Amino acid sequence: MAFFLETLLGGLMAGMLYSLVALGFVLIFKASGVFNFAQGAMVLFAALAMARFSEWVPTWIGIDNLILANVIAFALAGALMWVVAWLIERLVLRHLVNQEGVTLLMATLGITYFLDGLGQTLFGSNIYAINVGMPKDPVFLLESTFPGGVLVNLEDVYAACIAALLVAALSLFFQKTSTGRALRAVADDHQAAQSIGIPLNRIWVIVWFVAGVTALVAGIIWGSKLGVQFSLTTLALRALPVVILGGLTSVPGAIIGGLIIGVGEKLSEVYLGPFVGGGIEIWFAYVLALVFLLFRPQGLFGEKIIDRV
Amino acid sequence: MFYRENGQFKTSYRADQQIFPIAQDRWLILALIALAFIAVPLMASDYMMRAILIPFLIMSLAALGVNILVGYCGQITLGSGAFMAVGAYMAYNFFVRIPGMPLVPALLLGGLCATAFGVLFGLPSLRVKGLYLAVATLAAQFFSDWMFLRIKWFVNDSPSGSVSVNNLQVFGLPIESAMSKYLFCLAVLVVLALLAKNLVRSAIGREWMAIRDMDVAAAVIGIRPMYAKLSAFAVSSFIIGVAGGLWAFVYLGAWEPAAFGVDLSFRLLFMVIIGGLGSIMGAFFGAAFIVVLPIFLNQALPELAGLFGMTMSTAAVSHVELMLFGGLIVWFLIVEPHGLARLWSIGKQKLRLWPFPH
Amino acid sequence: MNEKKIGEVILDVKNISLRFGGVKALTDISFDVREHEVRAIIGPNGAGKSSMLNCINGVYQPQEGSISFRGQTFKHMNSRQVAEMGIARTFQNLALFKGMSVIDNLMTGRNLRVKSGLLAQAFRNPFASLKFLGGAQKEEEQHREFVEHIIDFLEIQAHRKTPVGTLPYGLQKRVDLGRALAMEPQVLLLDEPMAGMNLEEKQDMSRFILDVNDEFGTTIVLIEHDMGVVMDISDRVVVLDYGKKIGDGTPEAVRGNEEVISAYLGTSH
Repeated sequence: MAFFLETLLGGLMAGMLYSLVALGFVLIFKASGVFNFAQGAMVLFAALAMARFSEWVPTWIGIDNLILANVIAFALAGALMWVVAWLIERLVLRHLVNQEGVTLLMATLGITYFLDGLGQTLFGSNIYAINVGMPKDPVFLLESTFPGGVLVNLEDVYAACIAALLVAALSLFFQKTSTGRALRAVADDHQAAQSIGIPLNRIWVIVWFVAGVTALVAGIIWGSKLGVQFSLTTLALRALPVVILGGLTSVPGAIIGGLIIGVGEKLSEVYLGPFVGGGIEIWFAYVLALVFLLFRPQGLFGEKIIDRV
Repeated sequence: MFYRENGQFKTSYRADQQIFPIAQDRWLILALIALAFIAVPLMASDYMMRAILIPFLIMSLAALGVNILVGYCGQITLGSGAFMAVGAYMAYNFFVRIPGMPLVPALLLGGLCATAFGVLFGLPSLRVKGLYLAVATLAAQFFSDWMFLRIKWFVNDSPSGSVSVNNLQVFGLPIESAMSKYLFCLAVLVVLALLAKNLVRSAIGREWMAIRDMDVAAAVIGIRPMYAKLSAFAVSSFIIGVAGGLWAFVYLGAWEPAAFGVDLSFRLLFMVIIGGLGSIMGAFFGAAFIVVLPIFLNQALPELAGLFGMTMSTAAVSHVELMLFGGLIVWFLIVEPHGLARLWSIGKQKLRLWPFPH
Repeated sequence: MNEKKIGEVILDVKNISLRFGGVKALTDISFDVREHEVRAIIGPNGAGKSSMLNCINGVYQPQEGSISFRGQTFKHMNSRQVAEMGIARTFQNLALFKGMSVIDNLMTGRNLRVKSGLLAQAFRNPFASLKFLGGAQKEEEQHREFVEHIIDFLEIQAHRKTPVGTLPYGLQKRVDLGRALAMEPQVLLLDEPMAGMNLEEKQDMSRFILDVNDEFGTTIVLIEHDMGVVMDISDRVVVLDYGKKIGDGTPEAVRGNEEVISAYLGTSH
């Protein structure tokens, strides 16, 4: 039983990490109707920036304090993500206004490749460490109920809390601010939003920047846990089923979808895996998403899509 | 233009409907085919054939298949690597397990298995489209990755997971040398390309394009969306499956599942986008581009860097390659969504007036 | 002009009600259409006219009521079934295949009658000079001939190979009509065929519609806003308002109907 709980908790924690990446997808889709395949690449790019800046800042400014270095690195990485957002809007999005979704999707595929190459050119392609002072010790909970206790990773708990804070902040932003309202208008209909005077270009830069910051946070958490390496881009591919499950337009959906997929993957691997040769994790999330697509394409919390003749 | 294209009046619908209605185009294609079958094997080096021409031919075939699905029928797919894998592995199984099975039938049977796989994973297209369909095809891709990695039957219980074939022959002629491989691939490509072109300009091709352009209206005319979409998946995955068999048997010789991963799917999609969606010729352009570009960059970039007194590692070249790919995709989507094929036909249009307007 | 022979009831709409969530698009609509006649459906915007055509066509499924075609009653129409039975339509917002040429658009209308299978089409004869003639090639030529008659009829010969998306609106409307005609329909549902046209274009389109009705005997059901056109070319008229039928009869009868007048012009209460 304790083992089951551990697997469950492990799954929840992994799922939380997926959710962080999925958040970025949902944000951009919600606000611009574009599905950003490049989110994974953005996570890696941001993480690389953070890792390298935190290495380089002490040598540039000659300070010793780890926290200060990290804060400055965070600010620099954030600024870089702003530049990326601005460039994407200027060079790509502006020219593809009102193209169909598939064209935009393929454009983001192109951006993915570009960011991959750029990141590695600017920051190198080794594995880098991120150290933001997250506790690495495991903790044993509930030792009284279960012998030996249930093993939980403190780092994961911290990550979950950060993610929860981020979600709360984003929800407030979308619902309560006028910029948030403008973003939702743009997501609904670009042309209509333009015609009432919403500055599409600035909105898009803001959205991609916010998604970039989300990517940065996700990158820091993932990178702190696993080290910053290329395989982070496969994250994007793992996070896709999450948004299908949760609904492309729903922030809580991204969270819950992530948790479901995280738990589902772990549980199926442990309990179903041995029957079919293992390695189920590769496709479990996708097949689950496939099932959802067939019966409920809008996911658990998304809006229903209606086609008019 | 250098020759006059006008003044050729058609007196029958048959003449108007043929593949190359303009006489000069017919001559051009004939010349091209003669060049490909006769001149190239005589003149090209072994390296040229093995490293450039053979992969180009096979990738063109695969891109053709992808174009039918994505360009003509409008169904996006990120799972074409999986179709190639199924074609390759099933052809392998037929070849190795049935004694005396000749090469060509094995490849065709592999293609038919890919068809079955394609139709199965094409079923979601009846329910969803666009991004959602892309996710469904990714499911096919990852499932196939796992299937060939973990289910030992497919790899003939080879412990390392990698398989190989040798001793290929067609009608008793061995397919070992670069030239024989090249000619074999060329022959398969020409035949399948012809069949594909026929399909695309017939009633079924129009059905596919109708579904792509407006599927609701298509239903009202009496086109069955289910039949149109699934037939697109079927034909497309057959061609891609045969290409996969060729890629494994003729080009790689020995392979493991990683050879057909999601990266391959992306490359195929890029070939089709850059080459031109909805155009048979586009598949060739795109394949040429994607096959030749890395090789070109590998030679050219270090030279360029050398001019500035810098050295460039192969890793650095591959990074630049990534950036160039990404940048080009975006550039094409913005400037010419119909790809190189459209640029080509625009070029021909301009050439009609320059240097000598008739 | 000959007296037109109007036949028996070919299409009978009985008690059709259509709802979208809480919105009632159509409430208890019944009317019939006789063979060879030109039946107009008129009414203010939002009256439910297009929805009515969509029900006949199988695009929408009504919650109540039934539709009979040549005596066979259906509760729910299936688009393909409807097309096979011989009912074709045009669309208000032009549902043309923008990526294809005019000829290809018209040829898609022939799809129902294509008999060659996939394999036969793949092995079609690609060159005119080769002598053997597969079945698929012959069939393609026959369909091409049929479509060319329609092209002559609609006077769009010059635009055969042009991609439809680049044609001016009036010509696109003609292609839409042509595609419906290519289906050799017995009943033609026209959804505002003259929307956005000037006087000349309307005259041309009216002439085409009347010619189709005259030469091929096709029954026409027509949604139209231009009262002059309606009064001129239709045999009988149905009037809808807010999803309900408020008039049914000859153009003269309907013109004098008080309810119809107030629906269009409003009355002082």
